[in-house]
Amino acid sequence: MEPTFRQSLNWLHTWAGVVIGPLLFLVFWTGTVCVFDKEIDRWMIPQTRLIYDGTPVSADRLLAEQRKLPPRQAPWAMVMPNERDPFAWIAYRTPTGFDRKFYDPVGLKLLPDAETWAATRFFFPLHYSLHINAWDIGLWLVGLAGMAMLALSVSGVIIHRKIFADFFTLRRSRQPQRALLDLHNTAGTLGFVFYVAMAFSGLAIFAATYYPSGWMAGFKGSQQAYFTEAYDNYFRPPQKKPAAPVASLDAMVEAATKAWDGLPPFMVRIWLDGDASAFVEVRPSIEGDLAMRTDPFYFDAATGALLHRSTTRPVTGLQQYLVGLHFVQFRHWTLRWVYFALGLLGSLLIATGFLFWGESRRKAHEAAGLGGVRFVEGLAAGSTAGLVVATLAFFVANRLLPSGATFLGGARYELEIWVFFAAWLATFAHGWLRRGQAWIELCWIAAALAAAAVLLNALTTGGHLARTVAQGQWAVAGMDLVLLAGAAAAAVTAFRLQRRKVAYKNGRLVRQGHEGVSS
Amino acid sequence: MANRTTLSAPAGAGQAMLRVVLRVAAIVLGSYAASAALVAAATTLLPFTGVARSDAFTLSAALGFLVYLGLGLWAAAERSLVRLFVVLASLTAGGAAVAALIAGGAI
Amino acid sequence: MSTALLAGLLAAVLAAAYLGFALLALSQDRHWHHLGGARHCPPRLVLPLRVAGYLLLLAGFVLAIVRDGPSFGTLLWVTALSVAAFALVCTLTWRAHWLRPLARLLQGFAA
Repeated sequence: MEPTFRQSLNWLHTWAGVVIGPLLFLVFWTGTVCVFDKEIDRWMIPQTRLIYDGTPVSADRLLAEQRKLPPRQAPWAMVMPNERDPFAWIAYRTPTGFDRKFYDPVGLKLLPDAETWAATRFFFPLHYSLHINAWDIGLWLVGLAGMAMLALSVSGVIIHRKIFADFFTLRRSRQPQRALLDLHNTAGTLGFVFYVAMAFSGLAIFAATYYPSGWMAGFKGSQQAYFTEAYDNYFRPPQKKPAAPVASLDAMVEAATKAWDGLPPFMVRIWLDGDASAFVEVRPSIEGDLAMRTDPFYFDAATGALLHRSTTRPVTGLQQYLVGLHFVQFRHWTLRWVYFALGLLGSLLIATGFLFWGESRRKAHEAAGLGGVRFVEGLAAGSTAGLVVATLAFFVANRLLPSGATFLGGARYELEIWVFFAAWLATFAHGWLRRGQAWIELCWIAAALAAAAVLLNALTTGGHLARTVAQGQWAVAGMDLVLLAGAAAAAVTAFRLQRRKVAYKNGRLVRQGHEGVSS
Repeated sequence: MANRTTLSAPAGAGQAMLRVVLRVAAIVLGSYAASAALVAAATTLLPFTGVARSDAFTLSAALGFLVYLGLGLWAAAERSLVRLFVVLASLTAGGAAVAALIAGGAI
Repeated sequence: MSTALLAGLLAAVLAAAYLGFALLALSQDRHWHHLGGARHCPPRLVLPLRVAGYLLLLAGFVLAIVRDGPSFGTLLWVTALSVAAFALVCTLTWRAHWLRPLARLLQGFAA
């Protein structure tokens, strides 16, 4: 299409980046946020700010608690506590995800329901499905973004002329366009492996969704048949007869734990609960290994006899490395922080790429006297900084809305989500209306919201930093500290942008349009 | 950085636009179709070498993304739209035919 | 492994990667000059600097495997490389004088 291979890829890089850029930023930003999903959950659901000492919870006692809940016709599972989720929980499947009941890990006392979707139910599905569930449209859009990320990464490396000579070079330029390109190149080069690994593993997780052709040809059109073989899942049909009482779950857990060399259980699930065919699935903890292995045991619910022990197939085992690499459910705090840092670097990469394009367009458009600049600037500000502001507004709303609040028929958790989307939309409008000032103001707003979130957390829960640090509540303390660091970074950025804008204006007047490029 | 004449060539703007639309369709849809057909073919072919069917699919789907990537990059660079569509269509038809024949029990 | 040993090994992984990248950067004329050296990095120093740089990166890999085992260790090393390289780029851009002592030491070798 273009005269050379490199120019063609430049064309691809530019337009794929511009068209997919906002979506890609959303996926990367929410992914980064979800590195600390459980910690955000603790912060947003104060009744779950507990500390778990590692004492195993009795599955039989938890079952007794489950039997006290109003009966529901939905599959359910019990999940055991761990360091990051310091409570036992019972999850019912719902059309949009799962509904959770929390129990404190010592006395198994039922805790108040979460009136928020927090990170695990809001940001996490937003990251992989955009909360658009009809026909899996959201999944496909995110898959397209993932493929675009791969294409952008590879084409970016090819079109970067001096990737080795410039490997360690970040020029300090006063000219925004130059500075943006340098930042974009540096963030892209240094994090390349991470972005490719995340995009590829993310796609691999949903391989069966993205390549239905494979299981249609190989498994006679049944996706279920593929999963059953790959994960060696067990199932037996219901008998439509009432069940005998459930045998000791703890004995089943103990048998499985022994076979896993002492690995604690992660989940206990009764399939076909209430039917004579009922059987129990016990899955091991996934905290200890990079690969996210499942390898469940299946027991007859009435007798406790072992029905089936799953063994993962070799290639599925490799796939589980990719899944584990992406999900970060393992226990490794250093890697978790590194993921967070590299996620931020990736967000910076996407934002600077998008802004660089906007900046070069702006010049061309202004020179040609074309419109549309305002639109692009609003889009750029809203889809990058605006998303950060919306995330912070979500946190602030969580601490401001009283328990049981409803508005226009929306429950409390929905109001938080409305605040998120309203704030996000508002930043687009703000970008259109306040050209030139939008970035500086968005940075100030972000700084104020982040600081407000920390303050409101202290006021509404009493969990101020001095207390949470003293009590070892590192999830809450960490969230507060990251918010404070973010507030400081946003304020410094706003201040610098303001100063640079003034300096740039003056410089341009003095030099009469000559571009000021320093060192 | 971007070649600004690409999307706004004044001469023959309609034809240029059509070429861009076809090009984008080849990158996004054509490369996907070819990779999906190849995934189907590989899923049905690999079991003949002793690989389990589920492993065959897991492996070919993962490789499928890389095939899609490679084809997409090539589709952006290949000058001749005709050659581009001929290659993508043959890969799609060939892969689909192999998968259909094996899955249908003809082989 | 004790907490102190784990922390020490982590610091060593990051330090090895940072120092390795610093040597690789110094083998480039631009950074050699920028850190107070002559216009070009002396030719007889380029190869030793690169070899030492890559060896340090490799040492980081060994340390990461010792600390975390093969699967976590590999992941730690690969991600630590990005973090260390980013830290080095920031140092070169905003706090280049921190690297002057290292550069002076190597200029001594060159003389």
